[in-house]
Amino acid sequence: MKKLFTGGRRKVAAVMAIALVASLSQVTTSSASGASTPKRGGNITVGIFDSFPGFCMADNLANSALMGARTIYETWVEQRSDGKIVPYVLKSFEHSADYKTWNLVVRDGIKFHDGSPVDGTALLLNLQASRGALYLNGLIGKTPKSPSSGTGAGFSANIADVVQTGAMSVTVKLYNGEANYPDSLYASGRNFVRSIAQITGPNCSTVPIGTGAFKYVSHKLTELVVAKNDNYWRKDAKGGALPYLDGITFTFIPDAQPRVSGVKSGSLAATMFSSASEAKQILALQKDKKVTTISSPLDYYPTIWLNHKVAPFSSKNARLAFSHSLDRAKWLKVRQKGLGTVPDSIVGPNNIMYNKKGYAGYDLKKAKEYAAAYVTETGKTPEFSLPYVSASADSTANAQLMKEMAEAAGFKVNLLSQTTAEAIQKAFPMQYQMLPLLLMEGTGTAFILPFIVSDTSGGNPTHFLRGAAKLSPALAGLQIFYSILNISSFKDEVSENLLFAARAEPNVAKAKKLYAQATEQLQKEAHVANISFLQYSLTYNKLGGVGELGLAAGGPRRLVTNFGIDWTGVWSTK
Amino acid sequence: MSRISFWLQRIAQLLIVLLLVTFGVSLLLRLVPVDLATILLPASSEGEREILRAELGFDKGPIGYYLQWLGNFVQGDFGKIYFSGGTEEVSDHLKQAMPRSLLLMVYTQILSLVIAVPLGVLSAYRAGRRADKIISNSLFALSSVPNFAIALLLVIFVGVKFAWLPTLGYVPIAEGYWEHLKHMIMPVISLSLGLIATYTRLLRADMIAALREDYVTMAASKGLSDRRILWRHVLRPSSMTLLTSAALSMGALIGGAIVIESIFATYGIGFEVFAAIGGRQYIALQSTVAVIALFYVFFNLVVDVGSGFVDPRTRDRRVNA
Repeated sequence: MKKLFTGGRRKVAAVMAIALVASLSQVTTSSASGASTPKRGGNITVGIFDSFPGFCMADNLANSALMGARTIYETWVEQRSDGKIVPYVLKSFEHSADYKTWNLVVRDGIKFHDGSPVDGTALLLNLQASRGALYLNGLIGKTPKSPSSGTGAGFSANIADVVQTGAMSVTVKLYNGEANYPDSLYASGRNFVRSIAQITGPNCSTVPIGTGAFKYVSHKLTELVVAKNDNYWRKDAKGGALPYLDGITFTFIPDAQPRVSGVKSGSLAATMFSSASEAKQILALQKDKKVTTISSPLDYYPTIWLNHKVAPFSSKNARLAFSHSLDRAKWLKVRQKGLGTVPDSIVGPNNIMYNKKGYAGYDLKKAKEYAAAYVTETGKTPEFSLPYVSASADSTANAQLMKEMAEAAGFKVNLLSQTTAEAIQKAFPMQYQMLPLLLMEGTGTAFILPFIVSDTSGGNPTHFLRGAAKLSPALAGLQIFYSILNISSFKDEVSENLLFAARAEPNVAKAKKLYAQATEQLQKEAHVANISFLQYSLTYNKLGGVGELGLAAGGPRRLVTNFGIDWTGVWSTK
Repeated sequence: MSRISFWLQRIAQLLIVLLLVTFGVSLLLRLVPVDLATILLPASSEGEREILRAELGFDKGPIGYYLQWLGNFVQGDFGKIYFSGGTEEVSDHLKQAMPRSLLLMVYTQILSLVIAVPLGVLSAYRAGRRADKIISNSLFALSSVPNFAIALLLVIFVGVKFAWLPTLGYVPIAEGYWEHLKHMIMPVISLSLGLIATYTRLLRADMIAALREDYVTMAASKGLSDRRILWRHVLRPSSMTLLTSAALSMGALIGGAIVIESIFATYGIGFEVFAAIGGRQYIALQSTVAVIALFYVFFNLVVDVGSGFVDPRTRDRRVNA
């Protein structure tokens, strides 16, 4: 949305309290200046393109703002550069033979910034909060309660129960086996370890309390200030205290140009970009030897969600006509300045679901044929409204180009000006005929599968949200969480069965085959369309240690993602 | 008409302008074909939106809504900015943005006038000669370059290439005057160059006309030096247009420096307007526009007062009218 894809992504990543994924850290690096000896102290400013609406589960910070929040918060598990999910604030996780029971054990000696311990109770309440159980408590007058679950309830609907089994341990019971449950627990870096006081308190949105290397100092919509956590639990390779920096200010700078000049002049120590609308700046910075630019892989897959409940996309003919009308090569050249690749699947090559079979790529002749078939089928011209953010020049240009492409195939397209907030409100549940929105990402399926199945609980008849309906008819509406993430509102039993079977399959090769079959089915039916893949970049100036600090369990972490880099081991070389 | 009743009438006129402007904006917002409560609270329940409608007067007619907003506004309640994690007071945003915009405006005016006045005087004094032609042509060229282009050139060369000055951000005076100035220099220069050209040309034209007046010939025939004639006897009566233009541009700079504020990320009032429009924060937009209108009106009043001091004849004309 904002910038057609990016903005939506920003806010809607927004609507994700839980996500899953990972993307192998096959980053590209340009230039480089390295200082090998850590230097302590200093405050730096980092430019970001997302704002800080809040820090509770429902606030769902997007991308670059997420980077700021992740200096305060850590996650129970982390993703290594090879994509493997490993324990982080957790000491370990173990599963049963059927992958339906997972025992999680918390690492000893970690404390929240408010001094409270990170233990089994904290883990239990974090998991219950993210699956919506504490939100339900609030609705039925029980405690502990939390103000909202965000959309975490939809993401974690496969959880049948969560039980504390010891002072530092919790057991998670799943309805369907999930061979890669830790991927869901990682939630694409969004499933934060929040203190009990924050989750259950009145200031959940405004005062973040985590375990991270930096503590919250202040924030407003356009800025987050964090300061060094003197009691941080991790040490550097030589046993020295972390972090090195005294403080960081993350400042919201919506325009790319000031971010570029800021980092080049040294006014900013670092700044982030998205290839959705800032490809030109990324390409220029990659050539600039005075700064270092690191980029994520193209592991972010913007989707054009076609609403199956209303015309014209209730018709397969219209969906195929639209998908075939999208000239991805032209889009890549015009809108992304050649940065990226032409999509040939609904997900990128690094994703386990990647499959070219059945993909309705650009073919104007076919597009016209399917559009004509739609006219024969319905007696009407295929017509739809294309939502875009008129306040954004990029979003407007994106919408106009997409309109041109669809109209060349025989569609009638009306541009519909929206704000990002409106788009989110009307997307969940879907009130548009179609909506371009970046939701799917990574190498796994934890942040993909919930968007393309009709029931994220897998049909679990005993799931607590179904039980809520028995408590009160007024709570029956909570069941919307099972399907709200599938904004195209389709139910395809073939792809769904394949997806659930693949998720339960521990053998990676077998799982990959099942996922690929599911992708083929989704593409044959043109349930969703796409036009580009995206990446995120971070440019920095006079910083050392970027990407050098490994994970607590060993091994390097992903260097750069949609939420930038890890700031724990970074120092200023100024 | 007595002086007091003249000023009372003037103030009443300005108040009417203010009321019309704010009512116009309020009416326009009510004409937007959307439910404002839904826009402000997209993820909330209908019950919460009902409360908001009552709180903000959306459930009333346009006049009832306007009166409620006005009542709050005059009491210093400028409304809230709504987002998923809560709200922020518009007044807090304005408190932060206002000093930035005011200082930017003041520095811009000082720099512009300090340069434009001597140039205008010199240009008028040497009208038609080489100095005048150089000044006039240079300023003509300068006025044709948009301020954002100047800003970008400054950023590229002064900020990035030579790294003499920071390219973005704002530092309050309390954190060090030199740091503060360093962050203001490039935005101020960007905004000033166009104004320098305008002011110089206005002053030049008025001074050339004044130099043709009989009292100037008289002063010269009495043996007064050219400098004294120019600075003491010609500049003052020639400053009316310049003063009016400067005052009006002050109002414009308060809310209209949005491009420059964006390039240098100084984020004053212009950015607040932009953010309110982009985020459809209608209450914030209405209150911010009202504040900008207040400044326009205030500076108009300043022009009225100032013109009386600069040229007492105008004061007398008004009172005797």
